Amino acid sequence: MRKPIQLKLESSSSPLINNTECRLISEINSIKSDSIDYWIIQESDQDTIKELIHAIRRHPAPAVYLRAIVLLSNQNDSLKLYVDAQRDTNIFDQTTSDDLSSKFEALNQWIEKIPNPLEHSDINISLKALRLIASRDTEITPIMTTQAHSGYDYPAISTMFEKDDSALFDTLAFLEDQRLLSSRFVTKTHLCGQCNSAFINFKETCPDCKSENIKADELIHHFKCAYTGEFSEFVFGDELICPKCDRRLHHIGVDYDKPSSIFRCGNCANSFQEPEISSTCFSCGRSSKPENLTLQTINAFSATSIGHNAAIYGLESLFSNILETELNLFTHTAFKDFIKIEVSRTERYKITNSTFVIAQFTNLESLYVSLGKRAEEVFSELSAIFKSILRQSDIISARNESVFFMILTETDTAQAKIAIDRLTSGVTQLFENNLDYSPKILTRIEKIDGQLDVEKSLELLLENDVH
Amino acid sequence: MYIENLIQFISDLTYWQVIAYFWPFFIIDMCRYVLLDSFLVISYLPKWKREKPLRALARKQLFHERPLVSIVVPGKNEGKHIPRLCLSLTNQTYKEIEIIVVDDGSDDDTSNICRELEAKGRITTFISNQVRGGKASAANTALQYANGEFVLHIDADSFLAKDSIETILLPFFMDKKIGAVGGDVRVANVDESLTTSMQAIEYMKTISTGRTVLSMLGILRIIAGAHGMFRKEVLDRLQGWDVGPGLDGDITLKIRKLGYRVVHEPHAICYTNAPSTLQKLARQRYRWDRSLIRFRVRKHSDLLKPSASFNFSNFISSADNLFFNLLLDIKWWIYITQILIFQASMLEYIFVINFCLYLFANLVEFSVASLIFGHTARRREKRLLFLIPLMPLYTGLFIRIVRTYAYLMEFLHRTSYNDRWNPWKVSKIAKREKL
Repeated sequence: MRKPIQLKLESSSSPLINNTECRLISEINSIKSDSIDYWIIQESDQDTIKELIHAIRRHPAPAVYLRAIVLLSNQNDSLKLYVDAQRDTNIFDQTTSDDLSSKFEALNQWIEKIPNPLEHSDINISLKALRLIASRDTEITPIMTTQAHSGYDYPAISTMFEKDDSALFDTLAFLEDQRLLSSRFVTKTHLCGQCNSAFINFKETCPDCKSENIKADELIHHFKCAYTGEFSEFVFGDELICPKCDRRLHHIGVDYDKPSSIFRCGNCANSFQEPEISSTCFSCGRSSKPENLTLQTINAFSATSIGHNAAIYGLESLFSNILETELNLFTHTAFKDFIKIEVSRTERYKITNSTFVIAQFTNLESLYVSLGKRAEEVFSELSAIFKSILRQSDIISARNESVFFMILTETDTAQAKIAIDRLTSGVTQLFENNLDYSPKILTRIEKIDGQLDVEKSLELLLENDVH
Repeated sequence: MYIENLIQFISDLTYWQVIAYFWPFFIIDMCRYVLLDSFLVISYLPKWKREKPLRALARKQLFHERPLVSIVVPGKNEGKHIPRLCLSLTNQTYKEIEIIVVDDGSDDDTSNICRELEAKGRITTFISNQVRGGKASAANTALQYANGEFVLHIDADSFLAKDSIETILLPFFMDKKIGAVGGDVRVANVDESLTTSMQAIEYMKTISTGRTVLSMLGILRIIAGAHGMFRKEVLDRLQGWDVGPGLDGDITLKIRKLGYRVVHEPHAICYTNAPSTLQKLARQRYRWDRSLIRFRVRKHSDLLKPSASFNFSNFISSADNLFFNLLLDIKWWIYITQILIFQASMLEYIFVINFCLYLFANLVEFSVASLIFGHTARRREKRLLFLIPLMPLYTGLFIRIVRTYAYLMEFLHRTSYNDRWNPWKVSKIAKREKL
């Protein structure tokens, strides 16, 4: 039987209503995790509220950090974005509590699907973030805030991160790169190139001496005598008088106009129309040109179907993870470096050939989703097939969960075709014999030479698939 | 048969008949443009050699003092020409320069081109006026931000020979009373069309030779907007240019009125793009020629009147201009009328003889110009000799007709005030104020 648990920082108090329990934060590890319906926080001090939220979200046990948090307060609290629900303290009664229990029932059932959610400890922050996002089955959206170093925060998950640094953005980028999250563009923001702070002071400066002591003045053109000068030259008391012909200026557009404005530097007397823009970071004090700032895209994220599965069964069950364990899976950057080395090597000696292979498994994600935990076993088998055709000297890298790049060293394209045919037939047999499932495998084989462009080859492979 | 008749006609002519039938050539054009010009231009050569030590001294002083020269370039939709101009300015033998470009309300990519050049340091200051104010206002805008002791006004579609700035500065160091120096203007696009080739010959005659002569006589009346160097203090006293068109001639007269000398320096060379079609050329000349009436006859008529500030050379300068351009233009039509009425039966002979006389005059003028300035001429300019036979038709018919029309329209309708060269709001005020 689960019940709401009110969490306090220092002194526990009597339960809010009958079926709730009040516990101290220091006792959080002793709370039986499967008895928690949702967490209640009722504090007046904002820092205390934050501390309690952090304690829950940073807890390693999924059954603790994934539970819903309800904030009870009498005002429209800005911290409500960091919790799952907010209710008025004065009207929190049994009915409200029951409503909240029903509301979070689906979430609690989702938590129960995780293998051993009570004993399990999630150390991997990426998995924790993925689980928090997937468990809510909703899109996490950024908010603009002065509280975050980067100017944007994802309140739904940011509380699980220890420091206000780029870890949050790096984690989301990693999960997106793994195709566990999908993104939707929201906005862009300039960040300091050194410390990633969004708090930047933009200043107009003199292009010559870089002084900030610059002043803009409008130009006035007097039609009658063609005299053109700065506004201040024309001002005599309340009137505008032309310094060349001494005529009074009456109406803009009739006897004079303002063709443009111009800056004058108070330091070096330079005149210019386009001041140089410089930026100074409030956080680290670094000054730079705007083009040297980092332009960060701010997205909203939601879990993909493969992300949902990985959230339940863990990142270890992903095919690329299995391959990484079984084979030496190189990063994409390292793979590209190997390609460069191989191009140089083969072009220099001109006696041997190496081959580049792309293999794409289509429908692998749906297989993963449908198999659930069993996918891990299938992927291990699949990995064994890869291992059987690759030699120690070959190099493999995963572009994502379903696209794999390989360098088959000292192998010409004909030999590579034989190896890839073996891979294809082995994979087809594995699926057809055991799962009654026929995967589609697309491959592309190319000789490694100076003409090779890995990304272009992938594009061609995908294009052929479409056609 | 015709040739025999023509020879017979010539051999039958008495002295009086020669004068009666060809008086415009023998009494006026030959005296003024062949004999006087040739004499003065030829005498320029020893003078130029005589002044060599003075020029060397002036050059020494120039490079010792190294005064800053502000180059002002006003223009609208001239972006495509600016990189070439900047390159020619960067390559000058005299390096103490600042380049100020003012975009007078362009609606093309001039602003982007100039901003890029400014960022690269090829242009010192670029000012983009969003609202077009006319060339005078753009030049005055540049003048506001000019820091130099001298100001070079140059057209955006021009470029300079390598030693042009150095050469045009020398007269200032030879005579402190010189307020402005006009540089030589040559046609850059000589080979573009027959029209530009004809103008190249015309520029050699009227600018290289013509202005050198006027300068020697002390009656130079125009410092071309395409290439003119001014003392900054003089422009400051005048507070810049007045409303055009014809602002270059206008400011030259104003400088003369201040008591300064204005001279022409034929060895400081600027190349400019000339109109490539007859239609464009007619439009340009229609604008230029009207300014004679607007500025010399109307605005600066005081130069011809006796007053406390009367100056003889200024009087001659204006009188020469009015006589040889305006009155002799009228003379030409009187002559045509005379021939049509009294010598209509001999028209075919008179026309051909006039053609030959003016061809001869053009050949002499071109030869004299080549003698003096040939070493500075490019090969394609020398090849223009073969087009000299067309010059009597170009100047005698085309240019004369455009000029007469321009004078008439300005006299009768003040059409220069409606010219699209200035924004309408400026023209409206100029017309109302009779500027």
